[in-house]
Amino acid sequence: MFEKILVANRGEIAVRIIRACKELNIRTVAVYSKADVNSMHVQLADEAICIGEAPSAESYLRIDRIISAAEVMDVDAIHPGYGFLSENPHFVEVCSSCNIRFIGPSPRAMQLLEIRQSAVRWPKKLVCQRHRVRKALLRKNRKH
Amino acid sequence: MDLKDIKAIIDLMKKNSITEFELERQDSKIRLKRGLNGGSLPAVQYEDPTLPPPSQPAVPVLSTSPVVAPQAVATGEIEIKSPMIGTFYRAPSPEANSYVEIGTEVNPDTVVCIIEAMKVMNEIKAEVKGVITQVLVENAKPVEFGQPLFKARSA
Repeated sequence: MFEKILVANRGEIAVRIIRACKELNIRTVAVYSKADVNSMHVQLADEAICIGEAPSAESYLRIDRIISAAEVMDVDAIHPGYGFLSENPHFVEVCSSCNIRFIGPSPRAMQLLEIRQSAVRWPKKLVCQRHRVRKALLRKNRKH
Repeated sequence: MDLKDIKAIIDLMKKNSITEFELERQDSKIRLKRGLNGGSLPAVQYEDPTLPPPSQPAVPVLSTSPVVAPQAVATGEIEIKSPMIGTFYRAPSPEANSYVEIGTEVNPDTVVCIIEAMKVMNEIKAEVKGVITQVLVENAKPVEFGQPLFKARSA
């Protein structure tokens, strides 16, 4: 079992993960942007580290800063929560290359899910297109 | 919230030995704190939510600062802050001399320290013109984004 993990998320998602870790006696590190310095997840975690300015693109989505924080705080693993970097296969690979465990699916599983989602999107587009064509034809027939 | 409500809250705090009370509403926020002796007057903080909140996390490991760029603090000094997360080193190698000491004159392009992040040694520039007055972080200690590293008196 991990001794210490970094929670790469914020708000209610991070709070839930931190609470679960407390029940499992796993120490937690919260990351926060300057806008979230007073957030509950920061206060609830055992340790906290600021990772950037307010915009997510400059903080929670910055792989380099998340990894740097994980290294500096000497964590065993990173829990990405939902959204942000949780479905980013490149982030998983970076964690692996830095000997930090990623608590989530493998890059391959993420890529397969992305393929599946794309596979569903295209048929849906075609169905909508056919429906629009059918409606246009019906309107045209009604006029004549 | 009027004075009658505040007095009622204070009485309840005394009655139930509560030392701190905080209430936040849409248009206002009030915080009451009783003295440790129990008999002293409560300190009242009334906050306007339009003002920025105080920047002090409850469980910090490393200290934080409101902005990254060097800014003038009350005494007229400027803080040089960390632009990244990593390990702070005062010298390019363990045997070498520190980049700067107290009293060193710096220009915007003067390298003041190294921050190691993801095995990469990043040279950090002062970005201000002045004289170093204080070194705020010990060698080989971790630093977070925005953490003050040095204080300098602007020239």
